[in-house]
Amino acid sequence: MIWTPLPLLAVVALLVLSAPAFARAGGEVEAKLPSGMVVGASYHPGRKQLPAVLILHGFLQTRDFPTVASTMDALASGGYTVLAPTLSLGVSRRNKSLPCEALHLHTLEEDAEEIAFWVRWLMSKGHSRITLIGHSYGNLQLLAYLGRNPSPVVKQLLMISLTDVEAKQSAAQRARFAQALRERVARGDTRLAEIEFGHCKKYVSPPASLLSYMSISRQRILDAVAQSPVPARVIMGSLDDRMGVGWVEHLQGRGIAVSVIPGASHFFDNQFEFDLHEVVLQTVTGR
Amino acid sequence: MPLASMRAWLAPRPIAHYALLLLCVLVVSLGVLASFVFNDATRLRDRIAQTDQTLAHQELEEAVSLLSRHARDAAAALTQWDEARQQLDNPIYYGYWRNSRALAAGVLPEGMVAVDLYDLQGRNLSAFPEKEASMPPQIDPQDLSSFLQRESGRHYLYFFFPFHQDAGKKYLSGYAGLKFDFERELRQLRTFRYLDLSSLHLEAGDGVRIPVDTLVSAMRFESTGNPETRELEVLVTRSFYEIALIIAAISLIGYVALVYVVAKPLRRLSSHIDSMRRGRSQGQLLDDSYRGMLAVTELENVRHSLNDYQHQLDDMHVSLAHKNKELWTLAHQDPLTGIFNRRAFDDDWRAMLRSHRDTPQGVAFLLFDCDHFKPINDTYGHQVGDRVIEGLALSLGGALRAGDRLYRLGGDEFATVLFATDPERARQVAERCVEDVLRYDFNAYGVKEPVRVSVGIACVEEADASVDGLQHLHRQADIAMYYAKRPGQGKIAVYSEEMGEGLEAVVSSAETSAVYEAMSDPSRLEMHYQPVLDLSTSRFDYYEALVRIRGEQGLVMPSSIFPVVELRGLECEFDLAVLERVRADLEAGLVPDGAGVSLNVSGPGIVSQRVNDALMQFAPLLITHKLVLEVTETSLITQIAQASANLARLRKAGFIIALDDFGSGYSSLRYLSSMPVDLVKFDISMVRSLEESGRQAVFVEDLARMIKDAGYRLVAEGIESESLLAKVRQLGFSHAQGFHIGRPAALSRHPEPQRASV
Repeated sequence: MIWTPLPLLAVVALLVLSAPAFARAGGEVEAKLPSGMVVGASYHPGRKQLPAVLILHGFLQTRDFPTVASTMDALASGGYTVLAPTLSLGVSRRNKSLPCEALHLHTLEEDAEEIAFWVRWLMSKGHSRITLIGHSYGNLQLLAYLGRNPSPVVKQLLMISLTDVEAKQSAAQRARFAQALRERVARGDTRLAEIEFGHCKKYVSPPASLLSYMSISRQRILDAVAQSPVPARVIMGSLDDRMGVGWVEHLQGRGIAVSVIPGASHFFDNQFEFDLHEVVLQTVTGR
Repeated sequence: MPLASMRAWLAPRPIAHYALLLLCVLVVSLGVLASFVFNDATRLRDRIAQTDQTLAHQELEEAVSLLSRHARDAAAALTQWDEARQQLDNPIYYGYWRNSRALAAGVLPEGMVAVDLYDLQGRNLSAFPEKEASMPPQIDPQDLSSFLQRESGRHYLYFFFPFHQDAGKKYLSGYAGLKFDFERELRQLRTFRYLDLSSLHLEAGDGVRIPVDTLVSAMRFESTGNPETRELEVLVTRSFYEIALIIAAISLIGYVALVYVVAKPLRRLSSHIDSMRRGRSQGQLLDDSYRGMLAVTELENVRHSLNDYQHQLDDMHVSLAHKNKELWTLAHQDPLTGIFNRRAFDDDWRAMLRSHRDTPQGVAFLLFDCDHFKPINDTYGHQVGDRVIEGLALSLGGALRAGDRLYRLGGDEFATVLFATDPERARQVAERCVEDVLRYDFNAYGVKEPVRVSVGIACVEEADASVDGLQHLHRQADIAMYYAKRPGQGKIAVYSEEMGEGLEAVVSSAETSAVYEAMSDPSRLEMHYQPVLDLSTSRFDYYEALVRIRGEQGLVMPSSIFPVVELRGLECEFDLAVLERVRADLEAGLVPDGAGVSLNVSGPGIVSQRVNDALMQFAPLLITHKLVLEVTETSLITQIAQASANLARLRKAGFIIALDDFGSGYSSLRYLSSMPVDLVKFDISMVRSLEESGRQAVFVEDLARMIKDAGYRLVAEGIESESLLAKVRQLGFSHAQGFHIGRPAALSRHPEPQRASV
């Protein structure tokens, strides 16, 4: 489905312009995970009658990533309660994006666990309807959470620029990587692995940690979206060059609702963030 | 300082020396000035260096402070770095982070040497801190002071600080340490204007920790100096050198200019004046330079003045040359005749001797002497005599070849020297001269007698030409000339060795000296008396007094005495000496009473008043002695009147007058008849002819008879045989004289007259 932004453009623009006032109303929250790791998030309480939105950043980023931050502001401006956590990725109080070359001790399971933590945190704040919004790789972590006994208060999944893990490496390559990692793990070899992973040319991680992410494949993504326990929608930019050719068609081929914003890139920068916000708001409100 | 040394020191010196001295003074002054400037510059440089050192110290303090702040900033960045916090929470892969991430992630400043994290106990998180890091493996959490440490010659600064997990610094996670390369960090932190980082070093050895707060005082360093000040110093120094160079160049140019513009012209002027003083300039003017004039006005004026003075000197020189020429002419020209005089002859003769050494050639010396000039002069007066001399000069000069010089050596004596000639050609010239003199009209001057010249010639052939030979020419010509004057010699004689025997005395200094000494001291005269036989009584009637001079080499005979006397014109003086000597003999009684003495008196003596007076002094002796005066006919010719008068007076006084050597001269009967003569002495040549057959004997016999018949008594000279004595006795001679009768001898050796054996 090709969505045209023109009908809602004026409304979204009005909401964005009034965002700073709402944004200023939000704050930073910290929480200590059971592991003792301290994690943080931006929290913007909204109207109770509206669903709360948990928006998750992309690969190795933080909640301050522009696409995430602007969407959060747009939602907050729309009166939604918005929680934008920053995954620790194994670093307590992480507040900056983690470089590819940094030591990556985190696993996909820990990521899903932190999402679960923040969902519970929202529930503890009295929110009974939660919409999950992810950006890029964050969508895969949200899918990982949804695939592991998600909370029933999660009502909706909105995936912005859903990542195709096989866009950079083929399934075969990833299979070989995974096999190698499994062998190392099997040998008890904990030496750091340095491989090309995602958009990272050099990704440093213990084999076991890296191997957790190797469980993701294109098929599993499509399956996970298609079999999502909650309604799922994908928003893609027509000029998102990070995805392989036919990714949108793959999604649509699996019956996944995809909104394609013409001319937008992977990050929906410049004027396309308004289009993105309009689609997001439109989707969240269910209009 | 001694006076002499001071005078020598103050002696004039060339101007180039003063110019050089000025140059030296300038150089020394520059050197002194340079030393002052260098001293001032050194003090200034020291002050600047001190200031620079202070500023460098301040710079270092500021830099250390900045570095500390920089370290604190780095520490802050480190504590806010997620990955660092991650290591403190989970250091399982600390090595990877430390070695691959800590310094490469761009979080910490570049240039940091090392970074390490420590746990709460201060333990280095590194599993092998001593290998992997040059950071301390253990720190004291109670003492996190920073320090500087030297390691392997390089200086490293260590900073340690607590690592809090949160911004509020409530949760301490551990500690962190940073290590900086001190010099590199300082260099990156700021630009040092005064501090020379390369000189920065620590006195302490390796491993000694220097706290940061005492770091600056512990460091040793040098200042680079203020570039502007250094540039200024360089500029001042360079300016000084440039000025010194310019001054030196100007001085050198000035010195060269002074030398060329002043010293050199002055030296030229001085040299020119010196040349003038030494007579070397030869009238040359001091030339100017290529500019047409000297560069210095005063020197140009001096040059002009000098050249003007030189012009004047040249004019004076020309004038003097004319005067000298006139003087030379006066000195070398005979004023009477206009021909060259004795001085010119002497000069030319010396010049000829000099030139003859190089180019020997045949030379003929011709000596002319006027016959009987003195009687002519005495007879006709000096004015006529001068005219005769002029006539002789004209006629002789006309007869000589073109180019031959005629000299008047004195009186009536002339000479010429012919070059490149031989005796025959010289004789031809002499004959031409004699003939020209004979042809000259001396009657125009009132001289009735013929004026003749005798010529003596001395030659040196080219083959025999030598300077020694030339030096004898004059004497030889003298001898030849007197030879020529002898009767019957034809007026021209060329010198030969044989001539010297008889006439050598003429030019012999020994004979001449003897004559002069005898005249001054008549006692040196020795009178020999030769008896004269009275043929009628066969007794010695009288003795002819013949003079000799006692000399160092024996007796000087009359043949040597009279040429000298005649040449020197000493006839009167010599007559007086002889008369005095004879008178002394008579008065001494050497001549016996009754015996007579005949006295030979010269021609000039006959006309001399003094000689006549001396003869008159013999008058008292006439009482006891017969006195005969013998005079030659030739001596009577020139002043025959005066001679006749004097002879008449003497005859009247009692003297018997004898005409000597009759027949050797003119033998003019007119003269004989006019003179008061008692005896006529036939010359020996005529007497000897009586023994020969022929016309001359007849002529002599007839002449003797004729004179006898005229009333004269005759005396025959040269009787050397009995037959000749008989002959003259037969012819009527009254007296005879000769070796056959008696040789001349001192009077005491003569037999008494009465005892004559002939």
